Amino acid sequence: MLKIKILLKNIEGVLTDIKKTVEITPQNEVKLVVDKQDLKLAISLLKDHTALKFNLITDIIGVDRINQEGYEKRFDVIYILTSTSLQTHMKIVVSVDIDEDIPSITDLFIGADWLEREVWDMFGIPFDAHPDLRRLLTDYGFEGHPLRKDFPVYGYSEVRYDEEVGKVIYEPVKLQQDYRQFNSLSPWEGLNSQPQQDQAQAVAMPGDEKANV
Amino acid sequence: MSTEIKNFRLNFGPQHPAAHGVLRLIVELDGERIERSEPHIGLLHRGSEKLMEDKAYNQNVPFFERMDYVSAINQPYAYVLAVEKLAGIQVPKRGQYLRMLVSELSRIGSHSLSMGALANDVGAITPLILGLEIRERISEFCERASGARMHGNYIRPGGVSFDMKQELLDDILTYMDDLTNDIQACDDLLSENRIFKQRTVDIGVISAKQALSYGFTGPNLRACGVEWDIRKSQPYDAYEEIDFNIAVSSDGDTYARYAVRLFEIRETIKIVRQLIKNMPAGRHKTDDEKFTNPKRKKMQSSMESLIHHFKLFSEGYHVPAGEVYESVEAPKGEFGVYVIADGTNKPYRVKVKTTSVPHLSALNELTKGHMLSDIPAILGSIDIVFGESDR
Amino acid sequence: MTFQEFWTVDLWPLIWIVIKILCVVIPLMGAVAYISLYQRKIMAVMQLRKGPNVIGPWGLAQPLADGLKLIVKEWVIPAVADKPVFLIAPMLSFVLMLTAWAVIPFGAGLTVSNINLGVLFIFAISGLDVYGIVLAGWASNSRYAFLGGLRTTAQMISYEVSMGMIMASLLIFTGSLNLSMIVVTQQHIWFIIPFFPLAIMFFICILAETSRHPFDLPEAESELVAGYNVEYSGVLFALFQMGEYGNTILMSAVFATLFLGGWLPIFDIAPLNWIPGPLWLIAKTAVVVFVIYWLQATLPRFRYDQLMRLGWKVFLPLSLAIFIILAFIAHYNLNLVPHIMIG
Repeated sequence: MLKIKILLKNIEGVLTDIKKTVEITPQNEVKLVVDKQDLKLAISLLKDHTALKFNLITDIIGVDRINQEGYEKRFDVIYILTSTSLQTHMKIVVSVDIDEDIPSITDLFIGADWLEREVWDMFGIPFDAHPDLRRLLTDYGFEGHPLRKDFPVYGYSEVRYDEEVGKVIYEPVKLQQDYRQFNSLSPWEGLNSQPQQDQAQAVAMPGDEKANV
Repeated sequence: MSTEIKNFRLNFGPQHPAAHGVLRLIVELDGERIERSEPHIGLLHRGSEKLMEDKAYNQNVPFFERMDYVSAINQPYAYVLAVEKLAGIQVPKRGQYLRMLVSELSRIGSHSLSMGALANDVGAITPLILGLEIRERISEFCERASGARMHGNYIRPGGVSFDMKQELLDDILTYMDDLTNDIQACDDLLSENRIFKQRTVDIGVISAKQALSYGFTGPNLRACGVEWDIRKSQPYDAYEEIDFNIAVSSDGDTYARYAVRLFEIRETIKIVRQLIKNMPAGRHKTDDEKFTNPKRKKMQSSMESLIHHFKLFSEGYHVPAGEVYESVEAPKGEFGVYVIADGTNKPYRVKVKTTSVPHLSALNELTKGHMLSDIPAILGSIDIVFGESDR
Repeated sequence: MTFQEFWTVDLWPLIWIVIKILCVVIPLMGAVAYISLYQRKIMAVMQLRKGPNVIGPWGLAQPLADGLKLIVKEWVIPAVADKPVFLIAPMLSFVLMLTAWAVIPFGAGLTVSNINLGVLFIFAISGLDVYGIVLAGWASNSRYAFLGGLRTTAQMISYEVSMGMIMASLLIFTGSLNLSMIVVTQQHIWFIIPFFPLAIMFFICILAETSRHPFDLPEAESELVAGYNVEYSGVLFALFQMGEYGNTILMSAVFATLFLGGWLPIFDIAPLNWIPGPLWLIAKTAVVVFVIYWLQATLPRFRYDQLMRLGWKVFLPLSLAIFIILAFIAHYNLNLVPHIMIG
């Protein structure tokens, strides 16, 4: 705990010129929120400053915030950096809207190359000045960005081998029955674990509307 | 007259016995020398991250076992730690020790297989058979503990699914002696073998600085001389109480990666012995029935337990809103999970930090200038599994 | 010409030759089939496994089952392959292997054709062997097969040179290219004892020549999948396999003939010299084959450039040096130990 507080102070000291918010999350992690134009500067300072040395890129995470409340912009991109000398992780959060691009950090960390490609693949967030921004995980010629919340779980097209044509073909998805969401929210415990929720609103459970029919 | 000289282009994979899975590697060759190699991954992409957003927290555990299927037990460990941290679940000491025990056993299985596979990739068949034999024994222990040989679904939020009997612990302890001999046999066959050394020393060299920049973790990073092990730096569960060393080599080549793994198996044997010797008594999972299923016997008499059981397996449990990154030291490197909870019974987003992707992304750097025959050796030494890199 | 004359001059010698050939080829086919079982059993014992044990007692019918499977299997000929060459290549490889057996002496006077250039004949045939593989690699029109074919060519050519040098060194002392004569000269002492370094080098050359471990680059399954025969299936594949196994036996027999005294018993004393010569040759060949598979279970594979370096920079100078030294000894009739022992 003490270590993290010192780290927080250090980060605030190093990143004096940058508009930012640094905080310790309830899960005991250091979280730094910066604007996207300050991102590269912040990461290069964190990487090179002798007191910090966040020299290992751990992950780049895209999040689609569309269903969550309290977020102005659609996407968050979270960079997780590790300092092998301080033996700790930290995360840097950048918010972007749809069709907005983010500066690429491939010149700071070579490993960011594939991680950024994955974020582009999954969320369609373009990275500015990325040397080779192609899809990473999805099929050749895939359309859409599957981890966006408006992309259905079953996707849009399915693939099979056609005996007649003699090759693999793509078709629109045909489901034998509608996709079922098993949202078994219960009135007793589901409410208790969400104390912030308004009581009157929470009492209306799925299926309640049928009671008076 | 002038003729255009074209480089020989080889499509290494997706079906290739040495690609360790479905790697498509496009290799440009000048004779047998590699000019450029470009890995294409994602042929095993199953959309686990998307599926996990649609399943309750306790239903997501098996997805992780199917990522790195070579060391299945280690992957859900990270996810379970993240869920426990978000939900505030306290795990009893015995549960922690059992989790560490199975994950260390799984590490032995993974390392012995990867050593055998490396030997097979450079042409020696026997170490692979030895490695598979070791893995088979480990699988049998997994079966006795959880009921399934590979995907045991053993580690769950709140502890482990079943307690281990003292008899099983004793058998594991006895096996550690046999294992020491088997590892010694592998060591004798390979470590000082001149052909093996010719094939691995100075092949696929990467410097510590580059490795960090690529995001290497685990044995591959330690082989470059960076002393970095999550179990030491950010100890989870009860790793603080265990005494072990981590292997570091400064060469950063294929042989160093092999040697680090070999050393790690021996250290892991040490850890397993300590864990069994110090195994605390008590429950193997938390008593909080909101997170773990109640005993069958209790369900037959207690109404509340029955409700808990039904709720747990239909709705799951609600995890308070929050975001957390948790990582464990998997056999192949740092395996992390970023979980975003929004207060419902399903995670809002789960991001898996894989161990293989950074290693794969450095493949061009590692193979450039080497011969075609070095590709299998390098692939074998960086120890990749495509179920994990493609998710 | 009377029938009598025709019978004694033309027909009977022909029939006699065919009978002699059948006497060699039929047991050889059996050996080629069972050497696969022999190999698998050796490997299994070394790897603490059981090996084939389901078909027949101790898996004895396994080779027959394998053969049957390959015979009834469909032939797949790639659309882009050069069809005639694709078909000829495995036959060539198989037939050449059989041809070389003509000069191997199984006992005193027991050889299909006791020609005076026996050693050269074997050398020539094993040099031709490379054609089967190169043609297969080329005709398959696959990049893996092509690379496998290229590697084999380079490998065989480079090791044949030092193999020739080693044989020449022996010939200085035997004074004959006839394999039966070479065996007879070993009556007092087998050549492996005075020429031990030569024997080791010749053995390694055999490994390279028949592409066995640690020189099995042409078919290195971890990088080239199966090398030159990756596109072959069914009987064509079986021919390649038989050619390969046959070559292993052939070269082991040549080694036994040149260095282990061929059909001669270990000691020329009562119970040992009752055993017929062919059995001795078979036993010696089996020992050499065992060593080959022992290495296969133990060693990793060389890389292509390392193999070439070993061939040209180590083996060739060494065998040349030995050749010159031995020639020197022979020329000045120096009474050095090996010379006396050979008598």
